[in-house]
Amino acid sequence: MTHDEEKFNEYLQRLARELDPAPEVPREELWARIDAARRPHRSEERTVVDIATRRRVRPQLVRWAVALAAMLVVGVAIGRLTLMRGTAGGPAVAANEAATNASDSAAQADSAALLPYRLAAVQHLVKTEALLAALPTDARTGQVDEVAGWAGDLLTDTRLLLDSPAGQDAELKQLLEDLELVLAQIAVLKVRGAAGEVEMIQDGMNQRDVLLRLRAATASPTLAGS
Amino acid sequence: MAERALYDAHVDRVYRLCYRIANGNRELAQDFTQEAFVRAFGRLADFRGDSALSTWLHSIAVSVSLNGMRKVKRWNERETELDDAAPIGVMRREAEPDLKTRLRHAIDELPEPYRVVFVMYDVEGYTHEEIGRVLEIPSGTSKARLSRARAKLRESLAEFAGEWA
Repeated sequence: MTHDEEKFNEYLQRLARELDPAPEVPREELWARIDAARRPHRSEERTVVDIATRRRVRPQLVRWAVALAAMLVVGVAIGRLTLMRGTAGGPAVAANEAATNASDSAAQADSAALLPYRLAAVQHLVKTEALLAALPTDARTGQVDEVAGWAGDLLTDTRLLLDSPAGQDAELKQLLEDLELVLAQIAVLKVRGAAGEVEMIQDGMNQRDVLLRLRAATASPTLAGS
Repeated sequence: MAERALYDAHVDRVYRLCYRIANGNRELAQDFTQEAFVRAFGRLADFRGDSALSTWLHSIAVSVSLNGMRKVKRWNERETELDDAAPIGVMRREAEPDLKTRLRHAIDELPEPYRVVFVMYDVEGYTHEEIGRVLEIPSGTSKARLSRARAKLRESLAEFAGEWA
């Protein structure tokens, strides 16, 4: 390239950039248009994959939102189940009340029978929380396959719990069903490749400090002391 | 929220790219930007992660913008025929009083492959590697197209050579 050509190229570049400065991006106006255009497609995208005979997996675009919601509910559920364990730990208490309230005594007996399942559910929720907390770090270090495999194992446990007496509790059942969706979606990361999807999950988790809040919940004295 | 986060991260650069390919037409740039994001969100499930998300998104934006400009050109050509006007073309060559006007017209007249590389490199500051990934061409091809674009523009601006000599 001659000196003259170099001078022209520099001049041309400067002139072209000054020629027509790009206007400010109308961010909100454009987003409103995109959001409006997307609404009909979002409802279609809601049914994608069937999990056994139970439910349909929500699409990738809302997976991270389900994961975030599930993580929040995990923290709440751990606290609630810990409280439930506290009220169910009393054969002696049931015996003391048996003389005055036969139905309460029966309820306590049922509760005691469910205790092992509830304990198993609590342990399962703690493991699931650990998985969700590990997802961003493992993605950064390229260990998505490991996390996906782990999610597959937890998915099996989730379904077993749903079929067990623990699944009779309405709140726990709802949580387990939501976790079933989330774990199923994480489990397929292994197959499809996950760079963009895990990136979105990470962005969402970072924005809401979800890990920080969950760690605070699992480190609470009620759970640690049990 | 995930879609909004993706949008916020990339809209500025995508919009500017669409704006340049649309020859400074704001309405077209907004239409192209909207279409690019709507398509990207609809195809996100198929994104395999074998390129950066931004590269993939910009590829969609370029494709949408170029297709849009071809439609605009065809429409203008039909309008020109109906009006029984002068030679077919997007713009008529009218009196061009100054350098900037001549440059605008010259950029518009560049063959599409050269124009896209020129606006991406010289106007928007993409590297040849980025251009290569977005347009799915070797970076060497990007350099060659830029060189040809600049040569054509230099011819068009020949009478203004004193400005840079």
